[in-house]
Amino acid sequence: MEEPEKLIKAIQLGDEKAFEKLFYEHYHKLYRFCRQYIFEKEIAEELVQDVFIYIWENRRSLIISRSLSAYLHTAVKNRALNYLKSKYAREKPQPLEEGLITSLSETEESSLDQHQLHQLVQQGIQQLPERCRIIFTLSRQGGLTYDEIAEELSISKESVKSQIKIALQKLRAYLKEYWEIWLIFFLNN
Amino acid sequence: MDYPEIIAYLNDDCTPQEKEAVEQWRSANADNERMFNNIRQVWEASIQKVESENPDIGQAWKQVRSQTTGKQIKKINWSRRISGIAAVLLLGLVAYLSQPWWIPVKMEEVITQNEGIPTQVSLPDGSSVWLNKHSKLVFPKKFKGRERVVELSGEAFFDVQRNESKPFSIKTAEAQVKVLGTSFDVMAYPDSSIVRVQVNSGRVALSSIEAEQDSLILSKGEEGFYEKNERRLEKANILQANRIAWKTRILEFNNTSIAEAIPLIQDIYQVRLELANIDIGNCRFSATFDDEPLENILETMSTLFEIKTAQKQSNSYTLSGQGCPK
Repeated sequence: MEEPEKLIKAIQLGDEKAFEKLFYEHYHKLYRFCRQYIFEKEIAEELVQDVFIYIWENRRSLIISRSLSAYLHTAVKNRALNYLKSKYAREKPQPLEEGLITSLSETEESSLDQHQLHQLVQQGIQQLPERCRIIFTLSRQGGLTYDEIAEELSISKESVKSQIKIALQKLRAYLKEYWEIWLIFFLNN
Repeated sequence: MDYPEIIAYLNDDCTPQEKEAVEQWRSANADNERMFNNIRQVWEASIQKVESENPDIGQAWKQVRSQTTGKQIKKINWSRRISGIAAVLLLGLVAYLSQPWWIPVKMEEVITQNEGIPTQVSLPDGSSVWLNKHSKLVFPKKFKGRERVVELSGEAFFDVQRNESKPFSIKTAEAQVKVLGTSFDVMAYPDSSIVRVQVNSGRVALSSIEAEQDSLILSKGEEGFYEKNERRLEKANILQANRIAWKTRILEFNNTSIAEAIPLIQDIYQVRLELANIDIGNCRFSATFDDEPLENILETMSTLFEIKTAQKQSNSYTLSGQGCPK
């Protein structure tokens, strides 16, 4: 018998050590996989933990037809997308703001290094409206196409497109605002 | 040229014609090119680097174990199964007799007045609650039944022990908050028109008392309201910093004026700060103080804005200096 199959067999028979081994072998990998869909670290952790709890609770009736790793990844992905779908549906829609594309001046671009820019953009993503962030994360981090996102969240492709646009507008506005605060701060001193 | 076309171009997800159109637009003038580069920078910087993230696996395992292999499950011995059922029935009967419905469960009550530091209360399930001023918490001596229910009037910070099979809920006069295991702040003063919840970790559900099914799910870092008069649930758009500073003693100032910062500092350090010159209040600063001594905060302001601090009494200071223009 292959190693992963042995592990599953042992878990099905209630072997607690085997379950702990499964957890330690797969937790980090699954967490990082979950983060492709889930922006919030803590929620990603909770969702992955829920998968393990589910496995233990249902160990007697567990049927794993494909490879163990594929099973775990699919379970995490399903859970993450289900979570996003219900979260998305609960969230109130944000009014669409039609903003022009504004450009940052040259000084601003040159004075932010890659690391700073990355940090700022991540902060900006955190501030996005929930629906916007869900879609943006699925697209950028999860690499899902607009069609896939629309299907997973049961929404139209057009709303996916417009949410991505809003996300970018807001991110750029956030960077701009941040820059202005810095200027004021230094001028005041 | 609009975002969708530019993004399609960046994703390499467009027809040769569309690609051509973007390239033409880019080369039309320097402003377009700069804008394109700016969007590309933001687009590229928006991918999170998760490869280096290693959440605390020991902590995670503890969480999972407490709900799986660590759970106290009695193993049923088949030969004793029948007597086991009889014993359960008997126990049920004893419990029923010893706990008749007309005798209420013993309740505990903690009431705070104007204390400077939060009052910590330990609940029977190991959860902790920190009560802010003028608040009241009522809870049973023992959590019986399928839910852990406490009642709150005023403001409190909750750190709830996770127990999936026994949800924790906080009832206030108008609204309720349901959780599994997490930490968060609830403000429900009777004289305020809103009940406010701010989540520190995990997820919670906020709803009115009447319509529990219409709940607002709040995640880490989010804040939600229940508006009592209109019976409306709403998520706050902007998270107010320092809301739970009374418990965490972490003060975050982000381009905050000294005038705005003073009431917070006074509240947490139980001191009085007076301005010799009103213009000092105009000075704005950004800094985070994680439960630091008051002297550090005063020193930071002094260095930034050339302010002199003089201690008048043990708990009273005067700040003097030029200040900042409005």
